[in-house]
Amino acid sequence: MSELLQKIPVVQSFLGLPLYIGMEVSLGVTLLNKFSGFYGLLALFTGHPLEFLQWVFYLVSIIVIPFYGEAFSTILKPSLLTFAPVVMGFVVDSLISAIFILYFAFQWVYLEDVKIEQVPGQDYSKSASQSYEYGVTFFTALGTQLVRMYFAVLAVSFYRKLVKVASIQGEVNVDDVELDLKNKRFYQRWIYKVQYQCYKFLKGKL
Amino acid sequence: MLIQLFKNYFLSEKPPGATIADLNLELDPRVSIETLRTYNFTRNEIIHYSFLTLVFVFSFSIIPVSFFLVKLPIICLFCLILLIPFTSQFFLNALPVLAWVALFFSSPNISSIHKPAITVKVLPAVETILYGDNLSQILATSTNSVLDILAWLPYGIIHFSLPFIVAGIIFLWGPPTALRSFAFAFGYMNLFGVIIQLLFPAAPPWYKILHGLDPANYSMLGSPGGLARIDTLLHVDLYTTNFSKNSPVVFGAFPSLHSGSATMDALFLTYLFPKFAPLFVFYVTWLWWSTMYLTHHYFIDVIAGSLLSFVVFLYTKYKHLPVNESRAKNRWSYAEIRKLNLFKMDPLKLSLDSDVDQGYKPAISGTRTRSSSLHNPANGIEMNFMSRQAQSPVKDLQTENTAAPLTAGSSGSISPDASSVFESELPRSISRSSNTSATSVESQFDLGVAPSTSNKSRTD
Repeated sequence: MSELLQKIPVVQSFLGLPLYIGMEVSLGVTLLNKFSGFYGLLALFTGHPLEFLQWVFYLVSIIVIPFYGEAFSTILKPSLLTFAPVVMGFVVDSLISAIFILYFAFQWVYLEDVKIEQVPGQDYSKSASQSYEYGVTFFTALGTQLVRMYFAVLAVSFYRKLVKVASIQGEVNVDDVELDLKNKRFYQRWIYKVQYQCYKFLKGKL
Repeated sequence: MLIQLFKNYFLSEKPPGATIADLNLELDPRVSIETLRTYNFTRNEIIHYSFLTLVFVFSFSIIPVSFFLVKLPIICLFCLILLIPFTSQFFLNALPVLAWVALFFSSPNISSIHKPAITVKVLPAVETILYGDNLSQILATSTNSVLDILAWLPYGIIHFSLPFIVAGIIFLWGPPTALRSFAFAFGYMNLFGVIIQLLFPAAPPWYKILHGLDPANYSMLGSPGGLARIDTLLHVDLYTTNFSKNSPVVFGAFPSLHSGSATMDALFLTYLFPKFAPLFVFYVTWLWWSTMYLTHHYFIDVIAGSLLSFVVFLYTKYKHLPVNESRAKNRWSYAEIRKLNLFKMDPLKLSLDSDVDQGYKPAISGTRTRSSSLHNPANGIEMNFMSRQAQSPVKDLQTENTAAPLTAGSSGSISPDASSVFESELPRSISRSSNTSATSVESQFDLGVAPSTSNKSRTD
């Protein structure tokens, strides 16, 4: 993982704009998409069964929302602790999302899709051809995967700069920060613990 | 009575002499003509007005009505409304909204020969591939009357009324010129959305329920989907006829403009009242569920609508939207407005020195980059905009390096790089309160004059 992080290319700007704008866009886009987890689990109330991979997919989508949400709301005052899980999440997401895409594409093709047989006399002049339908679907999935990878590159680049800024400002080492965790709520303690573990993992690697 | 209430509440904090929040009551079209003659359009304004003109011309050209009897009178009336300063201050800024409405309702007149092919499989396939299942189909399988009403409220009632309520709230409690930003963002989001719907026609979930994945064509009628149950429940024909026979864009599932509008409403309400953000997020997610429950949209559609809104809002936020001062009570509390400077706000700007030699040059150097227009109005303070709009060309005060002396930190979503009349650390007496304080200490700050006598002046 550390070797992979080292190999990820670094970008200096986002479409000619400062990197934090790119992070604001990528976090906003990702947050909106992660809300799919709630709707996936809502399916349970309709009696729809979920497979193991769907459970994982939806639960992980919901779990990352607080981390991405905190980073999104503090984009103008970013900290290493807040953005460490974002970097980890984006990198891991870009790696394993391809597996989910392939698995769910398999599900679609074999369980949902039907072969279309044209009925004589019907007007198909403005109906999309099957190759067009599959082509657009394929390129949308591919485009989504590429965007996820770009977001991971953005997050790594942003974090690298954040480390540099923190060193210039002489930021207090996160290890030394005393936090009154006992008086925090349980989920705040867990969020902090995850952030700290991610920060420790990334320390020295980026 | 009402006027007294208005004065007591809304005008109680109005700075003496401030005119920026006032409406332009001028009725003489010659004032606008004179303004136009001397007005220097920016590149962005030329693109903006040219694009909207194209949309209007296209929409008008395809409507099958008499040019001399109907179109010409409408065009003349429209021009008159835009020339009268009092009406123009509303309609000029509402042009993106009007362009969207014009295109949306004229689009059925586009010949099907010129329309693109309709996709049926793409949306359900992409929904499954990206989100793990046919979420919309699953959520629509189990229905009952209570859920029907719960879905109908945001989809059929709140959606249509909320933009007007939000506009009113922004006008009364937001900073001056914020409403025109809302009109810009809301209009362009919907306009882009309709253009995408026309260029990429796609069948909604109700189509799959009625026809499976069979190929579609433009002679097919629309469907009210789950809204038909509301008609049955209320014993009225609110949706069945309208969606079956009068729907302007039958295959306009992608993107969901219900979702886009709800997201835009939520973003602007969050901009005004950040503390209530969770409530606004809940509304958006509620509407998402209702669109899928009523079989009008796939999950990918609602996400696309919200993404479109988010991107348009971000552009508007950094390009047009004034800073919402947390200490300002309402529109009339403002003597000036400030805009964000995305380059000066960069939290990583400390690392820029070492990055310049790696290829990244911040655009504040003055060289024109593709995004340089974004920082032109940056940190600019607009004063008495309304009166200047009517009487003279806009001339923003650019305060590139003047923020430091008055800056005392950020509050809420406010940039830490801009000075404010609402900073709590500073006595109110030194805040610029009107356009007559040209030689005040604050103006010296804004004009970049060294604050050598600032301490003395503050105590004066």
